[in-house]
Amino acid sequence: MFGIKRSSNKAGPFEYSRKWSLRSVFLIGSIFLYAPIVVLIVFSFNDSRRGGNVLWKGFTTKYYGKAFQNDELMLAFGNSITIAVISTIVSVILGALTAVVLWRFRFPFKPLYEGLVALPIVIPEICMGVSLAMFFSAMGWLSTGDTAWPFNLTNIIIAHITFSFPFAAMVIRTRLQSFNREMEEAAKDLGASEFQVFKDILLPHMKPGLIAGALLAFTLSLDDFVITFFTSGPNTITFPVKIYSMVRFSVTPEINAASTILIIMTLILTFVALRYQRVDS
Amino acid sequence: MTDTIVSIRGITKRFGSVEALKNISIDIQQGEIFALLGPSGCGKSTLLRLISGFESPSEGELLLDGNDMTALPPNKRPINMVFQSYAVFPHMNVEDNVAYGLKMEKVPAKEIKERVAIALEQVHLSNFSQRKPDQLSGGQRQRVALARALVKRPRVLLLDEPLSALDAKLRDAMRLELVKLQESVGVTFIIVTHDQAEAMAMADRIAVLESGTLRQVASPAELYAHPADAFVADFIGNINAFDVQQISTIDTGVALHIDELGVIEWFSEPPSTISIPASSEDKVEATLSVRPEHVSISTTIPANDQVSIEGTLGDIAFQGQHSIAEIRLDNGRSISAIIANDQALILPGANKQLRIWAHWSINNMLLLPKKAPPL
Repeated sequence: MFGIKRSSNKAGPFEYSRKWSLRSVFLIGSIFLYAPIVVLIVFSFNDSRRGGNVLWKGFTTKYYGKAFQNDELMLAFGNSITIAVISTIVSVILGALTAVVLWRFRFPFKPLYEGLVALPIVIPEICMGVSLAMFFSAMGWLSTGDTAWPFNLTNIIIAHITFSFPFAAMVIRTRLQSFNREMEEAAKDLGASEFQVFKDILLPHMKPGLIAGALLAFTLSLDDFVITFFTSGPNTITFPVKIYSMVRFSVTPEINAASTILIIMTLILTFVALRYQRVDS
Repeated sequence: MTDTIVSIRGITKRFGSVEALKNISIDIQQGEIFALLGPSGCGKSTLLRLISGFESPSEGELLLDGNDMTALPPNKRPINMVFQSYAVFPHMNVEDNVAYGLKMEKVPAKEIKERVAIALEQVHLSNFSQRKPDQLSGGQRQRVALARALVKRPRVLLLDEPLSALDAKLRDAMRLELVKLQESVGVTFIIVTHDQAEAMAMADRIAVLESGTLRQVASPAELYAHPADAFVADFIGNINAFDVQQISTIDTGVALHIDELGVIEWFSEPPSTISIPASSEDKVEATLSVRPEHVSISTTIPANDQVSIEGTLGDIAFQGQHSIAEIRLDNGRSISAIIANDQALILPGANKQLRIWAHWSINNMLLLPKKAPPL
């Protein structure tokens, strides 16, 4: 009799999750966002010769086999992974250094420098792509594809670092905002040098930011199309660019299969990174 | 036999055009608990940061055991600090936190283990050595910070507002515990605080600072009984102050003219910090004060040997062991008196406009300059 009485039918003023109007908005939003991906994955198992075929012709995994036997697709996939790994490593190092400098020091024209760092985030990708292509051609660095792996990918790697390191820098800097400067002083007070403070105190604090930054840089690199399209040569095709050219030729379930592989890889990466962050904190 | 351990000599600290500390000189003795007390912005934290080495003085020097340490960086000074936020390293467990300073010193691993165990024992955290800081309470985190500093065997331990982040009950317990800890380890403690009760309860000596100047250095009892000026008297405990309008020499001492109390004869030499003006036109910078615990109230005219003032009874605030009565003077000012609870119970409320007399013995009054020259 002392329990709080509450109506089981009517939603309270702040029980947003129990309101039918909001629930339906959520449901419709989710369908619009995820239905195309679900359809893509489902039809990668469709036993039909045309990927655009919306009729279900039976279950098969043969298009995955086909995708894996497609040498050009696999080469593009290898290129994409190579580019993503190298550009992520460089982006995170550059981003971390930039973030620490912007967070730690005051220097002349700092706002200008901050703006310049953020520039690649705001300027349209198409402009970045065109300007990078013009830059490489002016320097005579056009990809011919005849240099040894992975140096044949240098142009694309440079391009990817250019647009992904500002993202890494931003994420890491946000993390640094929560650092308690007394911690740094405490370490120095206990006898640590500047470098020891960085290694023992600041770096562990930055770790979640570094992981998040790396994840962001990796996914940005892996699925970038526009900038890559402008900077790749005939023999240095990446996975998204290859899929695009396959679509132009003909839409087959093989493309669905290849895209599904890309989605699953991204999901696994996200899961691993989140898992790692949780264990860390 | 006392030895000076830290000697602050003529320290001035400027931040741009702002003088945070003005020509401060203090000698801190080996083995004492020394408190730097003052309102916020008085420069006490800056002084602590100067001693720790995180700031360097604009002028003056700092000596440790007689040796100049003004130019030494914080990691080279045998002085450790407990920070206001405790600054316990969140990614290390308790044991690693405490061991960190010894690792920096490159102490052998076996010795680190022993000394860490002893330090954790001292702060009663032996059972928590494997815990991460986020699994500890505020009080326990403070002990980690204490152990982490003490394990280095510093010559001086600096504590920046050590109790401000704790709740009231824990604060009282930690006060006693810090004093006990200091007695057992014998390290000199320098404590920064804005809480006069905390400084009075813990410190052997207190330095009162106000807007970058040193007002007085004395033991708690001395500060309370003989404050240097009206600022110190008001900061250390509560006080009812009356401005002195005129001061004139009489045979046995001085006569003090006070608007609210009339002429009071003061049968001894006034403090040397009060100048007696030659002309009665000149302004006198002095106050005559009495602490609330020396003020009594009665509903009848008090005896002649008492200093008394008439007023209306205001609010009575119950404090637990006693009550504080407000007496509204006819000029609109209020003074306060500490009275016994049984007296408070029979008095009517403020709305009854009861006329009363506040009275006290002249022996309990303090004749103080409004502002003594800084030390």
